[in-house]
Amino acid sequence: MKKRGKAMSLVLHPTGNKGAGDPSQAAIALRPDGTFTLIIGTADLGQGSNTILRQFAADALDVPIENISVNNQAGNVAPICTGSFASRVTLIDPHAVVNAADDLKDKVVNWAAGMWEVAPEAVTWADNSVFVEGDEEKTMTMTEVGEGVVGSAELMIGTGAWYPAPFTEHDPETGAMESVGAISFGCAVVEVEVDTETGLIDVLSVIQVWELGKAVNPLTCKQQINGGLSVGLGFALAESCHPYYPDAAHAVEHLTDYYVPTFADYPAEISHGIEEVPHPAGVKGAKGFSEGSSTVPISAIISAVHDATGVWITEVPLTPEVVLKALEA
Amino acid sequence: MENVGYFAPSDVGQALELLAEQGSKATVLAGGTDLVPAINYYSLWPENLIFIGALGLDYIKEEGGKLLIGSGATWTQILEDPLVAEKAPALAQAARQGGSVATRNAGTVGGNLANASPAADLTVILLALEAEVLLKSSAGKRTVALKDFFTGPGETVMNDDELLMEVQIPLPAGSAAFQKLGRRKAMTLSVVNAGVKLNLDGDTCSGACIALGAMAPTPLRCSAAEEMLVGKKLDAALIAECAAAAVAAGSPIDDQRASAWYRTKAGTAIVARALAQAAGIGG
Ligand SMILES: Cc1cc2nc3c(=O)[nH]c(=O)nc-3n(C[C@H](O)[C@H](O)[C@H](O)COP(=O)(O)OP(=O)(O)OC[C@H]3O[C@@H](n4cnc5c(N)ncnc54)[C@H](O)[C@@H]3O)c2cc1C
Repeated sequence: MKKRGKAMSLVLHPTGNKGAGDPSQAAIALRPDGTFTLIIGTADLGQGSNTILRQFAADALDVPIENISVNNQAGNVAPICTGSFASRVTLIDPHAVVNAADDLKDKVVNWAAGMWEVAPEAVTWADNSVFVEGDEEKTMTMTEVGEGVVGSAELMIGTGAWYPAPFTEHDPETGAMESVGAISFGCAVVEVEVDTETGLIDVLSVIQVWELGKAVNPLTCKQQINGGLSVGLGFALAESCHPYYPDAAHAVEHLTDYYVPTFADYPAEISHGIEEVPHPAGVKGAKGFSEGSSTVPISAIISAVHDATGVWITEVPLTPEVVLKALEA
Repeated sequence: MENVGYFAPSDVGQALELLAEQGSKATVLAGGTDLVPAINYYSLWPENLIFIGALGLDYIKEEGGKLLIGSGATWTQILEDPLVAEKAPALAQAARQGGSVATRNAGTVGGNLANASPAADLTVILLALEAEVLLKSSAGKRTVALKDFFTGPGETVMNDDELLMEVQIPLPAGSAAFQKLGRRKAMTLSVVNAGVKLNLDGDTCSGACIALGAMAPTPLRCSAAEEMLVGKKLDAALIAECAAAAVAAGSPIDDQRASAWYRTKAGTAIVARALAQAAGIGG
């Protein structure tokens, strides 16, 4: 028999490692053609950090995003990024990028002021160019700046870093601690169908909504939710190295027997919701959230199975065997 | 894999000569979807590979009251073939549920049978359809019913010098159905699978074949369960009783995919569903 159930789950996802004192650095180089290379150490494993950090650089430099290329593979000269973990990159790295952009602007403005024999304060950086307000002679497009710099003794690289305050201990009495990271808020609503004779669970539909500060790139936010859901489905329903845990018998040795969900296992209906409440710790209010999109479906699936069958299953993954045993108990 | 000999004969005669010459030193290579994982996982080192993909064994045709499928026909061919859809739709149904597009494009029906996995999907429905296989060697040929073909996991009655040429399905192929239970909806070997064929006289069963996979060292025909149906009107109660009897013929084991307990429980449901589907009862 097939039984359907629905449920909702809510999660708080701490991002930025609660201030474990992990820095990120960035550098931005002006190239002879007036475009820029953003140099970072951030590993982009598909989450889109290269894209959003280019967005932040373009915004901070007030130039078109096409004029910014990114290099996160600069090997032994790469700036440090402690890592793509703790959903920290969107919260921490943009600070380093903005600082690098400010540093580069200072250098270019100083160089232009020297060329024009004016005080640096008289030089404005805007609109992909530098100029002295009200003096038509003293204006250079960024292309002209790039060319000009080639003939000077300056290497135009701005650098920046961001070092969040190190971790503070919990108060032993109250458990309170200083919030130096940011928390994102997620919600999932799922509908499942449980086959009570085979224990198979079909996740029919999923709605996931996230409050994430600022959706720097709404498309990649949705893709993070899609990807996180796939990880969550595997976590909730299938992925297990030791099917007879704590017995080590039949430990999985190959991916052939390690079941990650396929596209066929994906729910037919997925809806995304994004809510933005700017976070004070982020640039433009941005904070991370993505890892939470893999955890939030799990408890909703478990609760929906309860709604469908009246049985609480408190172990994951809910393999067909686990489900059938629980239904029998 | 060093120093493995590779032969790609262009006709059946050559292939059979090579097999006769090399005997146990030769390993037949069809789609490679069972063989290559075996090489990678279990350090199987064939001495000589004989590729049989160029022998023209990928035909599907009707002849002499039988559906004849060349051993080189792929899962994709079978699931797309109009003749299969018309004469043995349950076979197409099984082919649709195997592996992924890539493995279905490469894997062959001959490989599925010769590999003799107790969990193989095409195998279990072919067993229910009372298929026979045509084996050839340079010395002659013989036909073996599938129910006599498998002797153990990975083992068949085929001799080293024999090639599986063709699968022969007697027509009409009754009212048949295939059910598979895997660990996800695609790219999964069967935890348990079932094929059934019913001959129906109105609503009375005049003959039944029930085949079960992943429940014993070989794919299984469940004759005691089959007999329970003959001469009876099929209803839900009889189907449930028969499914339990079919599964009782098995001797399932615990493995990475499921426990024996689970195979028995869920297997009963799978057989019942296949029977109900073939009998046209219920949803
Ligand atoms: C990712 C993946 C998913 C899979 N999913 C499924 C599934 O869902 N269901 C399922 O049943 N199987 C599945 N399989 C197994 C495999 O795809 C099938 O069994 C396939 O039909 C094997 O055919 P092949 O042509 O690739 O055989 P090969 O690997 O070439 O050969 C298999 C064995 O049969 C022998 N052999 C092949 N043809 C002949 C012949 N004509 N005469 C004599 N001996 C021969 C070979 O020597 C070898 O020992 C899967 C495999 C993979 C890798």
